[in-house]
Amino acid sequence: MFRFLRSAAPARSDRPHHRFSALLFVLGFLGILLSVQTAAHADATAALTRARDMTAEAKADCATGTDVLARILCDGVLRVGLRTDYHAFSARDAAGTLSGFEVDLAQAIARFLGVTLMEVPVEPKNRIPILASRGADLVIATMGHTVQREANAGFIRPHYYGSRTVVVGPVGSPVSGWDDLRAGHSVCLPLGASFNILFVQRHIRILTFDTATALLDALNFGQCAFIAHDDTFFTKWLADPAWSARFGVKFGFSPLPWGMAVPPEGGERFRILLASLSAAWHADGTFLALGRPHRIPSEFLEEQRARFATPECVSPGGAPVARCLLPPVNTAATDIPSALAPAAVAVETALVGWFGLTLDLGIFKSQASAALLIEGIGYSLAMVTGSMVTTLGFAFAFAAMAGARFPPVRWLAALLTEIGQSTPMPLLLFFGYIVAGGLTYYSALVALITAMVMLGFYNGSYAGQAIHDARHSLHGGGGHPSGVHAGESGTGFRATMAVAWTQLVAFLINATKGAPAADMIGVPEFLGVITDLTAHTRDRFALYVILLVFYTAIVLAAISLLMAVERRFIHRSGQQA
Amino acid sequence: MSGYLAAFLPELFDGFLINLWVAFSAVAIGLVFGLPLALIRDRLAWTEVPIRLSIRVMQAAPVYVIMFFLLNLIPTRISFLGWTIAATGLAALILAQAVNMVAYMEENGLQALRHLRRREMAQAILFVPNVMRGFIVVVMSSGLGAAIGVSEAVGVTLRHAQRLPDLGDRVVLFLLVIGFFVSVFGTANALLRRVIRRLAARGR
Repeated sequence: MFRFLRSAAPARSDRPHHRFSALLFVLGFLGILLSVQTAAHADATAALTRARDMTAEAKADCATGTDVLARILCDGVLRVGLRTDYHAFSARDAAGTLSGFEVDLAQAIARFLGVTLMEVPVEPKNRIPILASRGADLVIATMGHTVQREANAGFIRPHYYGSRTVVVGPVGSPVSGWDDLRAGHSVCLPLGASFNILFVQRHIRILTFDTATALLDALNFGQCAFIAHDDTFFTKWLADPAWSARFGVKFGFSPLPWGMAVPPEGGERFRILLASLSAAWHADGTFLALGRPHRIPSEFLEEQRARFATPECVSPGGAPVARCLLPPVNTAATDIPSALAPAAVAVETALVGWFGLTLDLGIFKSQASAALLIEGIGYSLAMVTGSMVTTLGFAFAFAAMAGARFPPVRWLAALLTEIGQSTPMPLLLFFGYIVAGGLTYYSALVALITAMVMLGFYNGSYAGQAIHDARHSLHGGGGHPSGVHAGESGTGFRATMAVAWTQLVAFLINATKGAPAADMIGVPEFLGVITDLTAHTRDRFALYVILLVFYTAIVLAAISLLMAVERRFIHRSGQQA
Repeated sequence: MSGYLAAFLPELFDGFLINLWVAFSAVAIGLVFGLPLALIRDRLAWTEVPIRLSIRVMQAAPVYVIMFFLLNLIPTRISFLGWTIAATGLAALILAQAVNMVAYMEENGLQALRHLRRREMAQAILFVPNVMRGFIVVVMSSGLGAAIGVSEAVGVTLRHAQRLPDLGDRVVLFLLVIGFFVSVFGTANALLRRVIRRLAARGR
């Protein structure tokens, strides 16, 4: 049989059989496509029918004063809260007209309901209050659907759009994830963004900017190696060939579904209607079609279309099936209260009661931010101690080298002292940062050690010269600038220290005062942590007062310590000598 | 590299002018507020303790922290007698430096006044090189402004270095800038030491 078929296969008489098979295959394939398409349409139709039925029902309820849908249909006006400054989604053009994906969506909903659209301008900070006060019937304003917002707004699911945060940087950069970013790059972030803490927690050096323009300028002019924002923010720029030739998306994180929202009270029927309508418009590609002219990223819309085009995601009655809906994001998922939270609340309450001062000590209440603050204080104390130790170390090293018998060592000491004394300390810090970042994996510890070394080198160059001058004067090499001369107190180490002490103390205090500047090269000390954490609060007064008091207290403590050392060792040694 | 330097050096010099401007402004503010404080402290005995304590706190407050404090707390626009000033990072940097300069000028001014009263003219005139020393100290520390986006010399250098893909080129760039600063401040410090030595010699 097998042999027969093999030998018969090339025979002319079998060709019609092959053609028939191919025809069957094509027809089968088209049948499958058609059935999928029909199913999608059936789902969209069921959902649309449900929405139309609800519209008709609501029209008959004009007497019901509290129902949002009934009021819209009876007044013939749909008031939609829209942003005025978000390119491609909802922004005013030169003529003052709003345009974008969200505007088109609002018009499509108004058309479906058979009413007139009234635009209500909203901003991120007032979109929910406007909704809650019934100043708008619906808000479509780039609003992420979070658990925290659900109490004040009735979000519609399926979501009409979704974004993620992306890190954008030079096209040629090999950065493709968090681990690559930790290698000493600076990242610029929008002030107040909730994702800033993700960078802070990874000890990535960040700078925050108030405006989107400043953020883009920082990238364009090389102030930051990378910037991070919602992917939709970059739509306009990535569409620009000149800009996209230089910069591109390196990686993304924190996906966030965007939800239309209705008033929490009286909006339930409208919310259910819009849920069916959204399921239908995902299934039949209406959302995709509305987004296409504005060239917005379409991955989310394509994924949602594929999802709701299947019968499993739309019930026979036309409602979206719960398991196909995306859950809201819980932005407080990691926001466990800290041990300091009760104390912070007590301080806030007391300040309001006593002085009428309203202060936001929120960063002390969250376990994550409180842990960062405590870590920051630890780094600050380590930085202060370490920079004093390295200052002393360099001072003794320079003094020893300056007094060496071998001339090249003395010349080297003179050269290093001149470099230390004539180079701005921030430049030395950045030099250390560039070298350390190029040679090794740039971690917080490497940053700390680099800062200690550079601060020690800078202040040690001055202190070392003071020790050398003191020793020189005690050995009869001329007058000392401080006016102390040899003869009365001997010429040993203690006598030298007694003579050089005033200058040595000055530069040790200088090292203490310079310690916060370690923040410049990514040491996660207190100032850096406060700056980064307060990126998402605009009430920063109390925190910066605390910061100033903290550092001033550290310097005053260092001065007290050095004065105690002077009383305990220097004066006593001077007296003994 | 030479082509790169041709683009970099003008920016470096522009940045350095900002460092000089910051120092000039901070020293001027320091003189305007510090000298009257010194005069009051010298003439009114009861002001000795409060002024001395204030000066100690001003000396102890780190410039870098004051800078961030001011940057975050001063209003973005300040109107004064019909003039509107945009409070920028540069303003925060100048004011932060000025806090320390007020303390510095007050202390040096007080010493000069006491020398003058004792008719020790040579010691009193040391106030002038001390002002110059303060100026140099502020020029050197004004690089802290790089942290808040002030385009002074250190910030310009860092910005250019970050654009260079090769570590060797970055190190060379930094060494060039360090060489520039060493030549400028090495000369300035040497001149200053010479002036002080001469004045001290005249006083003996």
